[in-house]
Amino acid sequence: MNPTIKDVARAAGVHYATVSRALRGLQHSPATRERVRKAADRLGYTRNPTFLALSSRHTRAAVSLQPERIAMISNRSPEEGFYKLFPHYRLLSKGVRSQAAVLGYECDLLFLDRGHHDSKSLYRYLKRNKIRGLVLAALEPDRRSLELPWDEFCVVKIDSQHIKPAFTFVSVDQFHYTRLAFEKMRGLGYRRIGLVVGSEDEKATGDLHTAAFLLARAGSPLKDWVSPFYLAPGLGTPQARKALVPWLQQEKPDAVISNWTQIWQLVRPFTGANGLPVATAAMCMLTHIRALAGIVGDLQLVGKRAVASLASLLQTGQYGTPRIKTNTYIQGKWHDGPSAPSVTAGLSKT
Amino acid sequence: MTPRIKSTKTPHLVTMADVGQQAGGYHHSTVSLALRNHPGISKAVRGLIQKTAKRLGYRRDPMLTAFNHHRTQGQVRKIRPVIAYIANFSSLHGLEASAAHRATFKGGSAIARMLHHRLEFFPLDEATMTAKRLDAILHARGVEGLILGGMNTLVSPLDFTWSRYSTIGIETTGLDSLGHSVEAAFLDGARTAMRRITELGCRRIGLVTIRGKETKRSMLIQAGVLCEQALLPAERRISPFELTETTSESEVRQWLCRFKVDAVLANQAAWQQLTTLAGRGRVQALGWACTDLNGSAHDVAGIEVDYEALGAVAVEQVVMLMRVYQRGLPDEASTTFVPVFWRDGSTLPFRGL
Repeated sequence: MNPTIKDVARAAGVHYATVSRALRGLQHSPATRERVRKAADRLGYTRNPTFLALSSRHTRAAVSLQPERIAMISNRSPEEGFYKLFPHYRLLSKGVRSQAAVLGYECDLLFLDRGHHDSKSLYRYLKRNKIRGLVLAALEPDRRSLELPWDEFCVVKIDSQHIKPAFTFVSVDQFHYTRLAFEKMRGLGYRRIGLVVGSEDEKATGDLHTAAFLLARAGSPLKDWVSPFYLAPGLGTPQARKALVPWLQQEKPDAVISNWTQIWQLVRPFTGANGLPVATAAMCMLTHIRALAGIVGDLQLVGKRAVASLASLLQTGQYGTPRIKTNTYIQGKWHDGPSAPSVTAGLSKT
Repeated sequence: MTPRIKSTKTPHLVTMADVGQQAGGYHHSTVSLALRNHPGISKAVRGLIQKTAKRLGYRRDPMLTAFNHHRTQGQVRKIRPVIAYIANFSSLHGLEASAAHRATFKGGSAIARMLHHRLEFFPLDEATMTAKRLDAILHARGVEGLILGGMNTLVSPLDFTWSRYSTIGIETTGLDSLGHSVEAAFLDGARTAMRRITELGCRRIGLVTIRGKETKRSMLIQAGVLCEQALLPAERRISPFELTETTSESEVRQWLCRFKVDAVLANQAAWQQLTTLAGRGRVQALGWACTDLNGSAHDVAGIEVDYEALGAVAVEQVVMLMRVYQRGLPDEASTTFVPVFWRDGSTLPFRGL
């Protein structure tokens, strides 16, 4: 076997990085340089010509070498609250950017909104800047839409299910959230557990909350079953309260799990079948809200995963619709909180 | 200008220049782009060059690949990256006897090659190999990527030093996997099946399962069935039937009669037990949609899993995790779903409405 740089290092009693520097004439101390050269000669070490040529080309070209660029696209501009009103965007973009940096991509944040891009100008921009990888970051259905010649790009969607071509998809795991919340509430001593979600959210996720809720409910006795409640889209808090009251009175849930954080204030005045104030768990927290029990989803992780998947697509040259369309869901973490105190065994029997 | 590198390749190795020439006179840089499927090269030319490269047996220079890896990752790979496919069979022969595993391994191997890795089977047969010993072997071999395939019959939990590996489980057994997993999309699959069975004329569809055989798959199927039933009028929501070792003939008949079941969604084992108990005559009037079609007779209707895709996605994900240095059990596990497909068959004839 040919001697390696490490063999030379051992023979000369120095670190292999020193050997590398010495053989390239970069080592300051002439004595060390000489010692390393002699050791290399004695062992018959020669540098690999291919690697030498490639690495010298690499260092020379490094100045002009442009890192590959990818883009994260949102259809809500900063003027419309990208940073201030919707913290999930900030978290997503933080994750996207940090993962891009790790993988050596430069990442543009582009807005598809009034005063920013439309599909046409976005396409021109992407082409001009040789951007081939796109992360569609939770595009909102009712805002500016995106039409591109998709075959020219590698695409990963975060949510954005309404964008029709089937792309690699990344999201939080609503199915797991719901099952976890249900199980935790059962564990805390609640028996009649209800689900409240936005009807639009169910449409957007493909009924994931409902599916998980029905599955979890099937594992509990029939007398504890509560029908799920779907909130109509665009309701303010007062209207939502009005819609919820008949359901609360009829179903008498001990606890409600919901993907709506405000639900806590809404249902607290009501009493469940167990004679206690209705407990709540929120399933959509971005950071843990102290007053609440529920699940925190790490959206940075979602952003990171999207970029890692995009890198795979770019590396394997899967432009447009990928060979296999996958959906990836990322689990969240449960936090106990005052909105769902533990019910003692004695009380839960009432 | 960059120094010209004198080729150290022996003459019989096919180069990109050869591929370009054979494909009809393309520049080697065109070949390079085409082999990476760059959209800057027209689809027709890409196809032509890829075909020619395959015909000539062009292979990437492993040294260049290693160097590029070194350049982009800032780290030299000393050992050729092997991804371990761990399954509880005692030999590769055993693995290949299972159609599902054979396809999963095949799909995974193909994509591993594309990503410059190699998928290798490591047997974990409880009689001959402990997890601890396998862990040591994997470590000694410098393996960093693991795919846990088909650990269904594994009794003890795996005692691995997880922090050494990027790991993906395929169709995990436990209802809540600790690590990242790749699953067949049986939630969608079951929903599609329910709708298709209804289209084929059946009105009262019952799910039949075997107790004690709960897997993530069976859980997803149940969730899908419940989800579709929630959209039906109450009298068509048929409670699932759970078979146990002590289930009697009359219990089966009672369930079938009470709910007037006209079609059953069940895997092969459950269907077999059900038909044995219910008797031939009754079963002939019953439609069956199979939930694990792989390897079964071709005229059975049901849900089919693309196991090659399952293997391919698992390998893609492991390589992705390795690339971003995600080792060990994650704080927040992820689940990636691979589509499943419906297949019509003679076990679900159209009965007319």
